[in-house]
Amino acid sequence: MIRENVQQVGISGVATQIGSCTVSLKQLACDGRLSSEPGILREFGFENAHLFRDASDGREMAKKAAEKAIQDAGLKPGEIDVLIWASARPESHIMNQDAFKDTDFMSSFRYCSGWLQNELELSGAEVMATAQQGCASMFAAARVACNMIVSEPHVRNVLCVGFDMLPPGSSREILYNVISDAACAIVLSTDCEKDNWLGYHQISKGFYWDPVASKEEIVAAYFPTSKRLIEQLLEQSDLTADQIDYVIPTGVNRNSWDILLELLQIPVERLYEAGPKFGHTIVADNFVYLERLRQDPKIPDGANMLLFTYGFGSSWCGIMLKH
Amino acid sequence: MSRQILLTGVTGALGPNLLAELLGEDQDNRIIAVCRPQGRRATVNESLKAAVQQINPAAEFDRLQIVGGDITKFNLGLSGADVQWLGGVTQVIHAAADTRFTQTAGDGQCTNVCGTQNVIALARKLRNLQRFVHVSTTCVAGQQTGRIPETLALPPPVFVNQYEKSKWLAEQVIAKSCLPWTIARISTCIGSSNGFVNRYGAIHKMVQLIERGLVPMIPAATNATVDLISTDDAAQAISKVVKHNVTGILQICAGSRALEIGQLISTVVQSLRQHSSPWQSGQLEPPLIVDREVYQQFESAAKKSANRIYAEVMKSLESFLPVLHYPKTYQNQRVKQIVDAEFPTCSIQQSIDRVIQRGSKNNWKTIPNEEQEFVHA
Repeated sequence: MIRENVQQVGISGVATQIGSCTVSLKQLACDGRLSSEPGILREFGFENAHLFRDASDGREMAKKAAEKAIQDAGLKPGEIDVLIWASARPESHIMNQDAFKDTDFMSSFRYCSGWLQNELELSGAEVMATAQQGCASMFAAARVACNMIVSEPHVRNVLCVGFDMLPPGSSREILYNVISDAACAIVLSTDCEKDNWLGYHQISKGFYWDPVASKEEIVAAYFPTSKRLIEQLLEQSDLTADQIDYVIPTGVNRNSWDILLELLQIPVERLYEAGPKFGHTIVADNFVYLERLRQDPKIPDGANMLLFTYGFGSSWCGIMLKH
Repeated sequence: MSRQILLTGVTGALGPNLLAELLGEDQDNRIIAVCRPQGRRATVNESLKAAVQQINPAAEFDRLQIVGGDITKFNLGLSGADVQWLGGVTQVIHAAADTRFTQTAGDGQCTNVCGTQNVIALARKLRNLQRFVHVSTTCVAGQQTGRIPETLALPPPVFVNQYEKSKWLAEQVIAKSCLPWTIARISTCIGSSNGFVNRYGAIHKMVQLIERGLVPMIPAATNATVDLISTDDAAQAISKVVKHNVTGILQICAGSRALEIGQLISTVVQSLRQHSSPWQSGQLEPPLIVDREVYQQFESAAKKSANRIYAEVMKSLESFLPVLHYPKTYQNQRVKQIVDAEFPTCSIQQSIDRVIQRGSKNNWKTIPNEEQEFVHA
């Protein structure tokens, strides 16, 4: 039996954790961890990078985000039916980040999803992961979660957990974006009363599978494809650009949002970017803002919200929610 | 009637088509082509011959003589004896120019203004001269908008770049020359109707960048037009100007049949989807047509990134801004009368398609560049 109305599904819980070690752009530049001038990156909207101490710290933050999201949903761990781990980097899916270098390849099967299920005592949960979606990994997880709830009646609550960090000492700039470490978790539930699911749309283009070789081509494809994706999502959701009350962005280059909103003719005031800047956290950005928005008393019920992201691979993804 | 035609700019974008047309049009035409002396000397400039044969495989060159010369020099650098030898010239077609939009004021003055003065000075010595055809450009309209008449642009319009200004100045020099002058303003030549392009220009560069998926947006009003014609049409019209001894100013352009920017992009994309492997995958997106504000935001971010490829894309886009920011329609009544048909006679869409088909297949190489050859008169 399939549930009749996807709009019964919503985001019942959200929590995020941003790296606690703050490093200035100047310091990153001194350490040779930026490719562009700090001044230019500041003009692109970046202030600092926020880092986890190490991978263990990062996983603990993911665990903490998951606990808080379950709490925010008003659930007990035992009520989670499915856990989906969603990280962009392959290393973020396993406990030992050096496992790929090990000759004992058994260590590469030490999955974070199983570890988290065990840690949180999600005894009733089925466990899986989404991968190879870059920054759109959490979007893919949310999509799978929503479709599971709609199509599998025994699934009522799905916990999606994303976590990504760059290796210690590595470059902190990717395609003119300053990268922070963060973890995030959302719970999707049936019969949810807020942030209900209106639609999802994704465009994947394998032509751009290699971000190393196709950096400039990806940047050039970004706007036309983003515009098309959002227009198609609006059409699927039976909405017009004018009916979007809030655009919940990623933390990528701020200028790109001005351009995208102009292209869509959505007033820039509808870009929801409350709170301190945190850089680009790979999978968590939109959910950091969503968490802030849910705590914002000024946001009226029924507001239409567009979440949009691009992930290496390459996939352009959008989620439409009603607050 | 037997004509002896002195032709400059034969190695340029229009030159081989013009040569093919003049040689093919009338068996009595004798052509003396002046081109800059470079490299090995021989009877016929092989690369020029190869280019002409791309347009007309049956072209014969026994009525062509190539003379080493340089329009930036007095008497085009020709000896007194050579100038004497040119005494039989009945028509001059001055098509040589520096066509770079990025040229400096000095470049433009040297080649386009002083170069034209030098050709005029030489023409004054040609006792049998009946017609001096100066090949100009519709770009002399500068920032004017609306309908552009077939008259001298006076007072001078505001110019977008030095190319426009230098070509406008050259027109003034021609108009005051007291020679039997004709000014033929050509719009952008996309290439021959069989797809051959002797020298790629800004429009081709843009198509290449679009093919590589590097152009996200083009700044334009949606109803802005881009006036393109096939190089065949341009050459044919100039040949008829010579044949019929047409006087005054005429604009050899698409006029009201110019493509709107949206039509142009969709023609280019349709062709790329047919002929270019990256586009055949269906994963590349056509560039967006955006207003000036959006473009400026993108341009600003792209410039800040200091990325070499974005800089190349921006530079290429910049060459189109004048066309797109100052929408205009050129009058082309006179060329229609001269060719006695609708103009352009070749389908622009078809010419674009063939140029892209050929360019994409040959990796945007024209024909192998051979060493320049020339003979002295």
